[in-house]
Amino acid sequence: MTSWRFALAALAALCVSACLPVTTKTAVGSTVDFINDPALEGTWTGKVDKSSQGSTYFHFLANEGESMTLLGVTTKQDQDKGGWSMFALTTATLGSHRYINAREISDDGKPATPDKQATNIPLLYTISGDTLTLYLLDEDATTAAIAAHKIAGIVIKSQYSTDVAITADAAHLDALLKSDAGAKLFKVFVVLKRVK
Amino acid sequence: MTKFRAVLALAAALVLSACYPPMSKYPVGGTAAKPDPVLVGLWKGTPADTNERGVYFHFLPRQDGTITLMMVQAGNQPDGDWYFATLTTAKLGANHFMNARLILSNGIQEGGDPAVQPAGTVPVLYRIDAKGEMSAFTMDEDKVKAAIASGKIKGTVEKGTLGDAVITADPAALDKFVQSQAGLSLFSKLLFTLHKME
Repeated sequence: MTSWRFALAALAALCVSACLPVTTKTAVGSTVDFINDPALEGTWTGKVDKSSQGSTYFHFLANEGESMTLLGVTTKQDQDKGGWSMFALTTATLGSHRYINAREISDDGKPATPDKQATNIPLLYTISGDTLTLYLLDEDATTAAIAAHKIAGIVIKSQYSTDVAITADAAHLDALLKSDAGAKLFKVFVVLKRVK
Repeated sequence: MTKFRAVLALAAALVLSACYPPMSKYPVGGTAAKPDPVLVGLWKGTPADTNERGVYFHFLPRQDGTITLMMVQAGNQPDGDWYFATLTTAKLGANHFMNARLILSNGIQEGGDPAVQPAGTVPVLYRIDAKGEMSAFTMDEDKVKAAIASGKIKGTVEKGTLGDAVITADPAALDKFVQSQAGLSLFSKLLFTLHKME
């Protein structure tokens, strides 16, 4: 799994040894229309790194053209001076499941590499009242699904990390993630509360 | 007056076609600049113009002694704007100042282009009261122009009623002036009232 200097994408775990989440070659929901979900708009906060006292604020801003910008800002805590990242998002609904596609655009004001900007990180999300829960594809479950030929993908293992990428085309990807079996490949990444 | 693609300066006006507040060629308190730890964290600002949306202000200290300021419009209405600025802060006498330079407006580079943003920084006077509420003021443009015209402070004013005003006084003269009654009286444009959230 490719190491990222700054977190976990969107969502940004802000630690040196963080790894890239499972990625997809195509954006989830490509076979249906991407439609901005107004329920996401606004500011949410939670702890991405539970061992830290610092909070991360997620500012979801709707753009024209059915895309969104996510600004993730992590507050200073002890020796960690905090930081911010910008992501480009699209959102789509497949069946009863709601998905975000996130691509990192910049990190602390510096443009992300072209590879990162082109890398799609899918997230499943649920909203219940003022609680937003974000889920990432579980690496082990996705690896098993690839091995069982439930979805096309590649798994590259190295000494210290494993990269998992779903390479299925849009039709196959959306068909899987529309199903409950597909949604079960995700595990909780962070639970956020709406900031009022 | 130089037009902005979107918004303000330090923090400000958050409207299209807004103009830069008066700027200074040199930062206030340049040699005495030191990041103010009181600012670090998240604040929510209520704009002086009640027609505008509130704004979240994230102040993040950087290794080089500057402060990164992320400003994001509050609320869940669509088309929220956001800005990225860098700050230095300094205390002169009993007064606290920020020197702000806008870098990004909605992800688009704003800084570095003199045709878009004049050289220098926007001086902001800020006061934090006993309840911890912060008031941030920029200089009133008409007053700055009058001060320049009367020779109280060295500066330039572009032609036309909308011409930008830039104080060009050297650092020593600038710091002396902004601590005087005449200098402080220029900071009469309340931008935001802020309360700390974290």
